[in-house]
Amino acid sequence: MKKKILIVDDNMNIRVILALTFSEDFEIHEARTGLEAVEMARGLIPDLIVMDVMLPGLDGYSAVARIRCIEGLKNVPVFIITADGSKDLKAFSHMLGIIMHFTKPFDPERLLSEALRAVA
Amino acid sequence: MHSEDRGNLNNAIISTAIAELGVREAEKNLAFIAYFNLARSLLNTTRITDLAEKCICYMNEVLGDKSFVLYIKNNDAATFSVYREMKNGSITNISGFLPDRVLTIKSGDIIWAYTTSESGVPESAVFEYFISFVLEKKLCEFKNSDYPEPEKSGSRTMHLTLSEFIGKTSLPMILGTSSGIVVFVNAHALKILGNLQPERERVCFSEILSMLAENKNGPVNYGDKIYRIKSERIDLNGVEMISVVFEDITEYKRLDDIKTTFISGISHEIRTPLTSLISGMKLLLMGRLGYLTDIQKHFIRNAVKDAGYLLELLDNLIYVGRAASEKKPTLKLRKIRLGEFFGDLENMYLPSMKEKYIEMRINLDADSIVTDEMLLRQVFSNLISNAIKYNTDCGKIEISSRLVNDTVIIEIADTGCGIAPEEKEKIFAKFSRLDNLAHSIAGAGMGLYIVKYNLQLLGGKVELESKVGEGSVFRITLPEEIYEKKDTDC
Repeated sequence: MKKKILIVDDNMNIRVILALTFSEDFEIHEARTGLEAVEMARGLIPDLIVMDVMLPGLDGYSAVARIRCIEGLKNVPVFIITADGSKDLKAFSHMLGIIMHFTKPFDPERLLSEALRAVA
Repeated sequence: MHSEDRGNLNNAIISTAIAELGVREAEKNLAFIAYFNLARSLLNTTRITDLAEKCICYMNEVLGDKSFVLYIKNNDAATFSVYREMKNGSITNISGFLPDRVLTIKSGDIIWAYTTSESGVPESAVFEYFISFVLEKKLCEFKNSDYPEPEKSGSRTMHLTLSEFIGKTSLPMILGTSSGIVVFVNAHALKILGNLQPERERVCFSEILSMLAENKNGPVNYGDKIYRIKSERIDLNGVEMISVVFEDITEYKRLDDIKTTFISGISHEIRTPLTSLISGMKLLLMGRLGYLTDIQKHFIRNAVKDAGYLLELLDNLIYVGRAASEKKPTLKLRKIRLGEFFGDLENMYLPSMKEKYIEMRINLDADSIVTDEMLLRQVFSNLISNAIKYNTDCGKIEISSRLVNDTVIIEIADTGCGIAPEEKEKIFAKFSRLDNLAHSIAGAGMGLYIVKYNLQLLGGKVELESKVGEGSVFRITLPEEIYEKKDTDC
């Protein structure tokens, strides 16, 4: 059975690219806002989360913090995708157990190989 | 001046002096006038300071404190006159060589006052006094109305009292000596200085002048206005003077801010779709969405490359915009191994070097530095990218480092087109490009601006040695280890 991936981004184009990147190897689920992501994660219990930072309402980091409180998601691997790499939230990321950062424009090939390694 | 005129004048002064001062005081004054006539005849052969000092000394002996020498110089003539404070508080011209009421002052004239400050009167008190007498038209109380105006020699002259002249000058202006003594402040400048230190009862102008001289390079806020301070050294008969002019750049700054906000706002807007464009094209190249022919791959690769260049441009614009907002970033200091650092950069630029068959040599005598890695990376990626861009095919790039007294010197030399001496100054400015190459080589002229800005933040500097046609050497000087100043100190 395919592993479940939750893709969170408010930009439709990015969601489509991410979905196409992972579609062969993962079961795709998409959320557009931080709150939607938290709700979906609760029911879904995904194997990997790919999270944007700048989201309407609840931002990506806060969403990850909430997801971490959900039973079964304490150790789920999370990739963060930031619009620009200048925001240094590495220490914060470490606290939240975020395993990787990608800066837009991300390289789909690298993203996929890292994703496969993370859920292996 | 004819001797007959001088006689008439002296008579006029004598009668005025006796009427105003009484006989005993008048005697003292007239003795001074006789001395002063002699001194003034030496004006063209004697240094103005020597003359003023002699007059002041004499006046102190004869008259006591609180006297001023006022000197007005233009192309036609120089007026040299002495003032004394009278018992009723007014200021009287006691030298007799200034026409009544009306001073003939043209724009460009130098107005200079020498005071008794050296004789023990506190400097600030004297200057405040001098300024107040200039501003409050006390000068007009001088009564020698028969004195003829100076001859006009072709050029148009304006007739203004000193206070009117000051009122009509739109530029706030201060004139002082190089030792920090302020000798002239106009009303506009006084207003600005009032805003500067409103909490102080007495403003010490010499303090302000040295303060202004220190930060003359940057714009300064006074009240709700922003001024650029320009100072200039003037040689006045062997005396070095400093003129300080305040240029109101409030409006310029406002427009510049709008421009910066606009550029950085629009850059962010463009960045978002551009990133999905690049990621999308890379997805195509992966072959996940179907097989691509070689020619299709070739065109998409070129599109990715160009989009990448566009993104780099935008990121530079955003960075420069952030730099202009004057918020200094906090430095993240850590030890950097230069070998690794330049190795990474070399790998990054390997593809574009291959394209032009450029060879890079790295020779590091100093390998360790404590600084902000991201800022340093921006510096050298811009310099290396330029060294490739402006190099000839089969050219060379040499990077070397050495340690000299706690300072790391890194040189990056190329065999490119070189930079002409007259271009050297301006290439570090924002949006500056080499004129002759602006059309043939892509770029927005932000690279070297970022280099200079980042090095300022890192406590370093950049120097350039270059010969047209032979190449350029950019020499970066950085402290081996920088310590951040703590704001809590003051």
